Amino acid sequence: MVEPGVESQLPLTEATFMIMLSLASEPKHGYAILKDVETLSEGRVRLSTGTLYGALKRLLGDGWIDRTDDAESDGPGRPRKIYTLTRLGRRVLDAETERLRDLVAVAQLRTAGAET
Amino acid sequence: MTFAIRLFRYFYGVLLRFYPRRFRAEFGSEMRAVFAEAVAGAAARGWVPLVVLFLRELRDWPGVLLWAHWLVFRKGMVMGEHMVKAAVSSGNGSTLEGRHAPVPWREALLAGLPHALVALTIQAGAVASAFGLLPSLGQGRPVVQIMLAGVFGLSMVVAMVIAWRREWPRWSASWLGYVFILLLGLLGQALQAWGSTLGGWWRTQLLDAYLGLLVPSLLAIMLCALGLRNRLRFLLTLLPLLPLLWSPVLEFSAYPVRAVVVLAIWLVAALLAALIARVGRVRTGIWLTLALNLAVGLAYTYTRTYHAHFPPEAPAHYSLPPTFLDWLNRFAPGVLAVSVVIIEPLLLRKLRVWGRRTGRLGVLGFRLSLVGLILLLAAGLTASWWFSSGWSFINRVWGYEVGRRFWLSILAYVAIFLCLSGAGFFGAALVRTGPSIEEGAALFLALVLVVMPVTAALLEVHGFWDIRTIPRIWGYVVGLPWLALGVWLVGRRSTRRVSGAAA
Repeated sequence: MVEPGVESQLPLTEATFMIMLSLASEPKHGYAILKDVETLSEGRVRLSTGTLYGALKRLLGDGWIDRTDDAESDGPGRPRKIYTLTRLGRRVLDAETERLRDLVAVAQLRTAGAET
Repeated sequence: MTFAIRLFRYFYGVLLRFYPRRFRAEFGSEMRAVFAEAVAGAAARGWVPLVVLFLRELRDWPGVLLWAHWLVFRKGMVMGEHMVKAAVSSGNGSTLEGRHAPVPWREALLAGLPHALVALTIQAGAVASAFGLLPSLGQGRPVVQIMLAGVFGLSMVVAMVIAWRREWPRWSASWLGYVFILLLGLLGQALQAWGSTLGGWWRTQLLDAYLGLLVPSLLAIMLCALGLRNRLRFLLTLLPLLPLLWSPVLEFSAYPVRAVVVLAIWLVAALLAALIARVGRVRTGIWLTLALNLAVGLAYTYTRTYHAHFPPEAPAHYSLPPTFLDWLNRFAPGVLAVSVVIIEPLLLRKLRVWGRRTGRLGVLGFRLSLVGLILLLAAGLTASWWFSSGWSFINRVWGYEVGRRFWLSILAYVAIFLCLSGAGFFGAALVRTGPSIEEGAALFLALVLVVMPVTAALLEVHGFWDIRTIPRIWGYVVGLPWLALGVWLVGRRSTRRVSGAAA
């Protein structure tokens, strides 16, 4: 059952879903998200930096992710930023996953019925 | 390859420069770093991945750029959405008080500047022309007057560029109304030019559609959108529209007096805009805007009534001595009609807050009312621009009266149906949440019992905005109590806390 407050935020765009999915396992910095999304989608979704940071800004604004300085970054200049999924963001991601699972289940049921 | 990598990184830096300053400050260095890593990774795989990577950036760049600028514009010009959400979730109306930080006098004067410029360029030119002080070239307008109007247009462009660079400070709202009018004017010109290429009949239809449908609809949507987001900026944007909405009253008034009165009104508007921007309080802004409405109404109707000037071929009864009732008959319905434009978008905002507090039924009620009230506003404004021939296409098929009734009535009936449906949901929400929501009950009454009948009746009688022909009984008996209730509702100090169950 999807939470009522979260339900109104769904469905997510594919790029948003993939970015959040990428952050579900561990916090990541921008380039790592870019590569991970490509890997997760088996090369189908390739984000430009513009799209990535546009989406990250939106997610930060909605409070679904957090941004912090990367303590382990050792390069010159400003410390790298890492992005973390918040508790609210995880609830949204879970809700979207559940919605997609339900859709697939219905589709499988219907197509299986059509074949028999 | 190294040169190509540097070139791509350089061009990427150029692309980044087009993003808003705040966006660049937040993400610029990170985006550069990520792009540099991506370029290095792609270059290791060869030329093709490198070029594809850059092309992907180029492909997405315009969309993200537009979105980022829109975000800044929305935050600056129409910010307030998150404030409403916060107020709803906390049950505390304090953020709805509309207290914005006062701005320095310099910024406040910038808010008044466009109206002062209209007075000192366009209207001063008109005054000088009326007194024969400006030489005229042939049959055209005095060339100095045209040049003064050009000065105003140029100032507008400069102001918008500065506002864009400074991420839409408060004073920029004062210029927005003019920009919108200018854009509508340009659209009208483009439509006329296009219609001319299609032939005379199409040209007329396009002009009718533009004046009768597009302009009122876009104006209604813009006003409601601004009123819903940020009331202070809505009031600043609305201010210059008030004298324009009253201007039909000035028809048949003696020209030198008329020009001086209009000049004075624009100077008053400049002063009030500066005050509204300076003080930063919505309630003060509402009262000052209503005061300008009264001032324009008094000045314009007085000029028209007591300084009338008719062409020699006008019927004899036009020249009868004016009476106090003549003046009142112009003034009272006009005040009501223009007040609708001020109050309705602010009422919508109250409806939204109340709708959200009362759950799904309330939200549904708000959405239906929103569409209905926008349509009613558009219908009212349509009548304002209605010219004597009506919509020519419908006229030719069904005749003038049918055309007029068809168009105005369709909008009005659909709008009333939507408002009534919305009111039904509000009523249901009210029953569920109990009688403690005093403000909700008042809004419900305002919406169902007063606003719609008066609007519908006025539309049905002669066209809401044809203020000379509205029977004054509507202005006195129905309209003025609605005006008082509306002013009370939108000008209330705070909203009431609702029960936890309701929230």
